[in-house]
Amino acid sequence: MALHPLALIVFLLCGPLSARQVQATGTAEGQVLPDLELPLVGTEGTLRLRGEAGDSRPILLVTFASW
Amino acid sequence: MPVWHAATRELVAAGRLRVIGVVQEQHRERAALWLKWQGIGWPVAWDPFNQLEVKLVPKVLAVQPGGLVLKDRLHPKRIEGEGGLLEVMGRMQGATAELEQPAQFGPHLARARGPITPADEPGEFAPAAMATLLMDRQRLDAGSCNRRRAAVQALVDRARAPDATARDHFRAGVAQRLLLDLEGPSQRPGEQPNQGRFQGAINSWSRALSLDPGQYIWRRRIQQWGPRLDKPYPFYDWVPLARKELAARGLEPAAWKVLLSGSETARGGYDLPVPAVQENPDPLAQIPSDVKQRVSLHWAVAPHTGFAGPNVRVAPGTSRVHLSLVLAEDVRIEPEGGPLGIWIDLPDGWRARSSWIDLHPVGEEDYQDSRLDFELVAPAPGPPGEAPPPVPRLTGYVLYPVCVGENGVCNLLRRNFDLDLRPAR
Repeated sequence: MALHPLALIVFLLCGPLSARQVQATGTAEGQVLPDLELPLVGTEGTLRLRGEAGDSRPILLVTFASW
Repeated sequence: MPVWHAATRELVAAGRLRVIGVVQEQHRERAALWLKWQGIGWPVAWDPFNQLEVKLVPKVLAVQPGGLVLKDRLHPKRIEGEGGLLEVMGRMQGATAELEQPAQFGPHLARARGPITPADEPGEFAPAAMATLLMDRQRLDAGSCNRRRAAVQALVDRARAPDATARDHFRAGVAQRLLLDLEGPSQRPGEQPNQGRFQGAINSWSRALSLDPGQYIWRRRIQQWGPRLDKPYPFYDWVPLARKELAARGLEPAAWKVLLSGSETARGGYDLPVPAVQENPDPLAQIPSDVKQRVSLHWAVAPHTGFAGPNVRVAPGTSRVHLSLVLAEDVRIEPEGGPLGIWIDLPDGWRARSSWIDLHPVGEEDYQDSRLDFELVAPAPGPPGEAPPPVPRLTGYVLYPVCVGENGVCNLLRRNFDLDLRPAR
């Protein structure tokens, strides 16, 4: 069965959109961390929470306070 | 955290895991001391504004490179097994994400060295202001001070807007306290002093907490300076031991610009202060008043955070009161010249350790930076449903022996005070 041209247009438009659907930011499971860059403690420089480009290691992110 | 450090050491050494920390504290150098003491070498970021928006700590997340949170409740005793760290890491294997340049904040951190102008987009204004304060080099030249103050003002103005959120109030509080700690209570002649910044911070945090009582990072920020009755644990009682042990290891820690207050090292507890009987040193107000304001009094009242929750366990007004004496340029305190302390007129039914409280020097014998903090306990609240009595104002006076100039006249002077103890909402 030939694909209707209109259906093809809808598929082409919506397919990539759904693949790039916006994910909620946050710290709960299934969310994406906010794209934060923060200064480091005890040394110069900053840290990007989502990881550094080219580094494929899993990240364990520990939020804490010294109190 | 030391438990996590031990549990992940081998994985990190084998290059299988990257561990990063985010510390939710107002003072970065305190976290730095703790990490050094504990021997934790992770990269740790400082997030005083709670931009990560966690509600409590510790919180440990397994994160896929690129930022996807795969697990948000990891436990150090469950490294293996279903739901443990190793199993979650297995799910992450091979997952790669293309990282774009940081969209939300990177450009703002880069902009932190530039001025904050009203022409900035409203949505970018607060991140740019926070970035300016986070990346502050602690310089006291005019340009640095102007930029810093513009950043603080931007966040305070944001919290005054009709659509301000609880988060805006919290951040305005963080900014005010950062400014006070960076510049100190007084500023150069002709500039606005930082008097009231500490109270401004506490008021902002109190407003934030009253809008979101379940936010424990915000609650702890008030409790850090609040009364013992409200402390879940001592906040910084570990500091003397850490300094001693680091010194023994030959790692002399740097001196702090912002020293700990009594409240920050106090233990929590429900024992009410037993008042010591003291005699009013100046009942007839015969000691001359400091009409020339040789000394300015910087007050802050940190309320019991019970005011922000539905279950009020203590009556409003229970608080920790902080006082710093800031001397005029040519004035010095001469401790031999008479009593240095404050007298409080305790309202009926209220308790404090004593009506007369000595002011202490900050550091060894440095009376030029005297301060104190003390606890006030309101009478027990009535039965449920009964409106609490109105919070009275706290009155009293401060006595200080001061000398003016190198060989000038020395006097014992008095300043009356009248404090509002009501928590800000």
